[in-house]
Amino acid sequence: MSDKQIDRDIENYMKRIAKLLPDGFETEDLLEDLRAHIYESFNAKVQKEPTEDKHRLIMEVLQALGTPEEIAEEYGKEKLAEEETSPTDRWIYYTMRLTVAILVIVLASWIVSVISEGAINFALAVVVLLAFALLEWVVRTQQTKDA
Amino acid sequence: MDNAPSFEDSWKIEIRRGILQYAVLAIVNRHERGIHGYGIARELEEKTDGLLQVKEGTLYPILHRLRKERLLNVHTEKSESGPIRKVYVLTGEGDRVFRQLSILVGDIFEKLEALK
Repeated sequence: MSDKQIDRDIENYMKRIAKLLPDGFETEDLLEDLRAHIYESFNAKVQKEPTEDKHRLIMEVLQALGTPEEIAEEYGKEKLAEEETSPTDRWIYYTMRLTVAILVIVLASWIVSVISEGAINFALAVVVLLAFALLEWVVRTQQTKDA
Repeated sequence: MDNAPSFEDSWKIEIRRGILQYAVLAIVNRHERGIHGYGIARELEEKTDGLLQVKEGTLYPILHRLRKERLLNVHTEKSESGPIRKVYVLTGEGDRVFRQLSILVGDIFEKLEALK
């Protein structure tokens, strides 16, 4: 079996996990860890059993790692436990996020209004961007719950 | 057909979660210079003879949580297999928590033994 096929198997597995987790830096970080683990475990197996079929070895590695559902479930549990233990940190985080989002919206609306020489109303731009930000937040929250 | 897990299976899952976090701290504690995720998985399997039946991938959400709780620190190094990997070390707080938990675990097993 070619190395390209092995890489494809790994990428398919990673995509299945990524689909179950919310988009974001933490997920990227987790996927990076899992990828490093897979290559390390696979290479260790190849060194130990060089004549063995590589497809069988990569399947063994992925099986030991767990199904994407099992990993996503553990991720969800840890997130839940994390939120339960640090409510203060969570409020600080949400307040900071909200402040940054409002600042970005106001700044973007002002720039759009200035560039269009008033053709796009500043207040209208703020409302529209705020609506998009809210929509994005709702979708993200739903994704996190689903994971 | 009833596929619901047995009482023993559910109990094992529940108890394993707490023990696993402690076991991860214990393994990291054994390595002063730190240890990477794959090494933790290997050591967990070898030292416990697979008793905890851990799916290796589920260790990473736990490691991330312990990092967020500031019990572990992380630095990166290049692995022999290619990708950059993270090396985990106990923080001062992690060391304190591990010592506290070790006392607690010792007490729990001692008291449970007395209940037999």
